[in-house]
Amino acid sequence: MDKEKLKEIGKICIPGMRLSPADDEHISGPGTYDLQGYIYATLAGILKTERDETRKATVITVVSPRTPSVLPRTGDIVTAKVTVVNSRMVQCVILCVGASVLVRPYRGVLKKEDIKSTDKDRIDPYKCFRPGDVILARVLPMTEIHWYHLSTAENELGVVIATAEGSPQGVGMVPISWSEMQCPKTLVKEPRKVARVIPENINQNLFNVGKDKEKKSKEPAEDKSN
Amino acid sequence: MAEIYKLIHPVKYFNDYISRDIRPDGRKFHEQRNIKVNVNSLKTAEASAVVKCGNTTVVCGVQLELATPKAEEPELGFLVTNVELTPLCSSKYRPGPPSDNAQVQSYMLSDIFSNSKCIDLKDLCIVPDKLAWVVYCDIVCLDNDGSLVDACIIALMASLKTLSLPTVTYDPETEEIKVDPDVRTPLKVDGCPVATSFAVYKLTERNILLTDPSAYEEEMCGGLGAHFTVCLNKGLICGNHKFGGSHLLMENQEEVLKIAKERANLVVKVIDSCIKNEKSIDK
Amino acid sequence: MPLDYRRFNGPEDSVSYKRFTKDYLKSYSELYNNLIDEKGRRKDGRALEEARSMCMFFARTDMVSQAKGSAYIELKKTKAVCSVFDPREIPHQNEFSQLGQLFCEVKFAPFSCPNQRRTHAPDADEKALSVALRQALEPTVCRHLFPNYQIDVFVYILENDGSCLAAAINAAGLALANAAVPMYDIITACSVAVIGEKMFVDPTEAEEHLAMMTPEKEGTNHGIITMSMLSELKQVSDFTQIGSMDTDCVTKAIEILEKECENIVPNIQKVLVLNVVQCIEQRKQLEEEAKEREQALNAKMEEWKQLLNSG
Repeated sequence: MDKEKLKEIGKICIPGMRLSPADDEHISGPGTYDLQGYIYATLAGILKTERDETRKATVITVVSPRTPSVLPRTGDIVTAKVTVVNSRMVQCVILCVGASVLVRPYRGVLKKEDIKSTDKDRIDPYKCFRPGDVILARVLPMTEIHWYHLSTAENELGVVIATAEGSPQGVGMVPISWSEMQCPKTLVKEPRKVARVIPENINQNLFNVGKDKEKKSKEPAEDKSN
Repeated sequence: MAEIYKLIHPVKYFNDYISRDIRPDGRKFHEQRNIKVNVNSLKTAEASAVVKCGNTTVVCGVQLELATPKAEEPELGFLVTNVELTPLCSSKYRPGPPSDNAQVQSYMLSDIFSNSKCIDLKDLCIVPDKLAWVVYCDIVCLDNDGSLVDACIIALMASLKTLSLPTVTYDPETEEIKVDPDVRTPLKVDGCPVATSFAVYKLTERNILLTDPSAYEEEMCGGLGAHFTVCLNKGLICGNHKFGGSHLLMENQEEVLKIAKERANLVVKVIDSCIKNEKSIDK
Repeated sequence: MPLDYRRFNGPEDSVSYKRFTKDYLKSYSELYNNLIDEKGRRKDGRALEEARSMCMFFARTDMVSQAKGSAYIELKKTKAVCSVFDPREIPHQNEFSQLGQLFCEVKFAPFSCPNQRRTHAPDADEKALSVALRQALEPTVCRHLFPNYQIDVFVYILENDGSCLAAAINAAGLALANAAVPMYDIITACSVAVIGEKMFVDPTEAEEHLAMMTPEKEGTNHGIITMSMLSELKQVSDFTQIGSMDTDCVTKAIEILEKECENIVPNIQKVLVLNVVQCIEQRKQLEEEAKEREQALNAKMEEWKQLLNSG
């Protein structure tokens, strides 16, 4: 194999490889574990070392080229799809954790009192979510075995993608206020707990609507030429 | 990024591609995936074949047994085909008894096979009413990425075409059976049925046919398994299955038949050349 | 046996034609003499203590496109496929468990055994192998990282020519690493068949068959030992012994197996490293394509901006 190419990739680790001594200078990060004074790798991937200034030590991590088998953890922001809505709670399936896509969906439940941070007594789940909506939510501590408890009691959390009743699949509604969305085709208004999506980069966001559209149309066309 | 888009907006993602006359994996609507065939790679089976159509991988193994024929059909032997969808081939299958989908696939395969009449069960009879061959064909799916029946039929036919039966001598008085595995006669196979699957996708104004769909495409078109399967044996239709999906127009039908015919010729060529290669290596 | 309505069944009284061939029944000594030729070599040309590790060992990953991770292992004729899926809920579980679970299933293809067709229903053999596989794998997976969930490991044996358990463990270890399941160490396994004084390392089916038979002379050693090891940590994760033998024999077998397990490690390492390199190169290519696309888009946007500005 090409030596040059390998150099470019970096240090490749495989499970069980001894990476460094575990002392005050070296801390084991994700993808590693420490045992009897040494740090070992648990994943097959690339070695990364980072300086942690607050702890005055080097954090040793192994990054796998594939998405590792992740489970949602308390505090994570997840993307979920609503499946069931009743008067006490909303059930959903968790699709993504942060930016990583889950291969197997996990079940989540959003209790009525966790939907909004204000006016908790007068929340009606039917006026906040509908089955099929894609929502952003935060994971609460796990209390049940197979259900992740979620919360949308923040301005940035709630419905991001929704289709109005009777509209064709794939046509999303546009938010018009904190609590309402409208379908651009049929002009139907429906109540929702709308999330304020913060753009990652403000400047690009100015053109975001046009750009997004362009991007989607561009992708398949590119593939064709390949 | 594309992965997330695909997951959250599945319909839109798929529509974006389809409306631009391309499929998510870069194929045209009627482009098929590569077919790879390998015969006799398993030594424990009498005959075997490994078939890969794109990612879909199936293995067929044939084993021979002897039994007395059924009383009502004393001149016929047995040929038993089963399709096994192992839990390892897709996250949708669980270990345990075969799922409904596996049973449907099994029945469909057996239907197509018996309709094509490519094996005369009389050839499998050794002594009428006394002794007959039982040919067990077990088709195992190792990787299910759509168009399973197509791959299964190719694997089955490739292995049956290489199968040869040992010589059996039967003494009618003492009922003693002797088998000589070194002297073998090849099994007579008449023609070669080939299945071609299509998925029917409903776009708002028209229906679109996707040839040789992948598992993802099958799912997007509404459910497990391909929607429409046409089987041809020597130019004759020996099976035509349509499950769910949306309706088909007459002109679609003609188009489908044309594609199926082309594919049938291609597949027969692939199998034959593979067997020829194998034989030349043996010599 | 009750009839299986979910499958097509052959006639009930069918028997393999091999029953009626000349060399179906053979005595113990005949079988024994068949295994080794005059020069003390085994049937496939190996020496007694030689494993099928060098040119007969073949392994690769990413066999199954639908699985998270998968591996295929070939020890000359023995062929095994393994796939690993993402963690999922444990069915029928009502207790909180701190450690994740492994669900292992080993299955033989109906046509995998040379003499008898295997039934579809799981038999005792498969169950025993599944349990042994689970026990071998449990110490190597970081199970505390996925409490209340289970990881499915499915092994399918396409062709059985001995050392099935060892092949299954090797394949499963590779598939787990391929699926990016956190593991403490690489796991390797090997087996040895003991017949009297002789030890057959990495036995074939015929050798295993004979080792399982009770010898004519009382008190002779016979049996099969399979051992799996975590190479870096020097831990034995599973030790399965079938048959009867004296302690000296067992200690000697352990020594041999330890060495053989070590010998397999470089093979597995090579496959894993190659796998990482491949993955990264693929990713790089995708990123480059994405970059090109991005550039095209930006150019388009500039154009638009100018159009907008000019009026």
